[in-house]
Amino acid sequence: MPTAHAASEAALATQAEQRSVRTFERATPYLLPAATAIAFILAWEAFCYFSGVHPVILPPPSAVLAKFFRFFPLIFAHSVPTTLESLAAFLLACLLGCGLAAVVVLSRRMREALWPNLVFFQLIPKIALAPLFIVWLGIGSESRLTFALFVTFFPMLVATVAGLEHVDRDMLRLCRSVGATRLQVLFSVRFPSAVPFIFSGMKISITLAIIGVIVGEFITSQRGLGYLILFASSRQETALSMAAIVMLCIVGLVLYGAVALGERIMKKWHDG
Amino acid sequence: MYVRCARVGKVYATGRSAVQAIKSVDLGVREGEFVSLLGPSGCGKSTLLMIVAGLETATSGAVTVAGRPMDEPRTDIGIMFQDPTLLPWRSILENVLFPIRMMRRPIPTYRSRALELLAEVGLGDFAEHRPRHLSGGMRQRAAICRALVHEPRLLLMDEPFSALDAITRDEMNIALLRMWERHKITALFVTHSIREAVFLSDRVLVMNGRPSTIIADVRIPFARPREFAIGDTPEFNALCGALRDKIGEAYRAAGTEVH
Repeated sequence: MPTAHAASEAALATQAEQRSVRTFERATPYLLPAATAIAFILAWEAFCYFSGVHPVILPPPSAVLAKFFRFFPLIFAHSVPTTLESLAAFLLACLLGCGLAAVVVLSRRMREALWPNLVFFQLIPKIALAPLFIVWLGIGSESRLTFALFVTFFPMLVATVAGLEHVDRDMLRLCRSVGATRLQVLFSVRFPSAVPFIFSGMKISITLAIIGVIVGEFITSQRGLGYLILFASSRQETALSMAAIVMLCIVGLVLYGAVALGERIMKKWHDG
Repeated sequence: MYVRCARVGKVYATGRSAVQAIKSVDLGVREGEFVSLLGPSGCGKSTLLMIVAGLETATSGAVTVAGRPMDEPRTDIGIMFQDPTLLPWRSILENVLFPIRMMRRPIPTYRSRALELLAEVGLGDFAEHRPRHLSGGMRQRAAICRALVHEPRLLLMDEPFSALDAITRDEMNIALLRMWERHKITALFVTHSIREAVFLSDRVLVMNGRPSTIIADVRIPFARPREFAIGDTPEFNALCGALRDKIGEAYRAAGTEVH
């Protein structure tokens, strides 16, 4: 029966069409931002080509990319200390943030003594303290780490305190009725239930850690991406400077991605 | 009397003014008895239960449980709340064993008891599941097991089934009665459902007013073990009606008293 055959073929065709429409719908969250970025870069390239702007003022993306690949070993070598110091500052911030949060949640007196001072400390523009850290700790990684830690730990602290206190009132009553100590409640109930909050804090902190280390490198360092960016611009090597920024974006993406991955794994555990 | 409250009162100090939540409550619960505190929301019955649990302190009067004054939480008490309050990252079995872990008692010793309790409420096959995979009624069954795991002598329940749908609630009432009969435990149950109170209890204490007092102490004569069919008998409905009238009377009386 040829007509039935044709009909079923037509149906299949529309099915395939629908499927491709659906695939497209699902891909738009990725396609759209990528297309926007590509359009922007092409516009930038075209602007450099047609306006004749000096490459020291604004190098075209193609030149930045060329520099990136040509000087990759150099850029990579500078990215290692930046990555390691960001990671170290982030981990220290997690420890300090969680530790202080535990102290503040465990003891009302400690909270009264510490909390207003911690908030006050945060009101100081942190960059203003960087020269002091150099005076106290020298120009080594200690002063950069301290500076980055100082920038980084506060969101971690605030998020963790919120998480530790976000426990059902009846759950706390149950704990008290079965004679749980405050430390038992902290480790068996409060910290596990705070996990989603802690990861929100971590996602903010990891980005701040990179900012802190880069600013630290601007001020004191002889190596690292912050140093390379500053050094390249001072030599009017704007393309190299931008290539270092590209590397910095990659470092940031990897570090943030690692935290986001940890969050997904821990969320699965937390929700059961 | 296993539980005794003598002239228990509670005043909340809020800034300059003070709110009296409970006026003066006298009550007694015999060993092995099932007693319900029945009253509308906000009448102070939950507060009273928390005082009996040692989780809140009375501002006047005294509470004794098993002859000893109840001035701080004690482990001879099991407790249930409106929500099951299970830890989502722990299995049902681990949740049931939570009190044992907090009390630092040996977990292997209580493991078999926990599994037995779970089997008794029909959760034998769910010991290793996470709470998320269980229905609301099943979670509350697990909470019953958790309240009983450390062999308490008194079970305190704060509207434990009021967040469940009516059908599940009926099932839970039967499940609770079976556990109560089997474990021969003294029970104090807070509810705002008249039928639930009548179905479960040996005695219903009606609470009302603000500040609240106990306005009636009604004996429920139905034989045990009870089946759900007693809810259809005229005697049952007459008793519910009488209780409803008592609560209504108290409302009207309060209406004329309060300006």
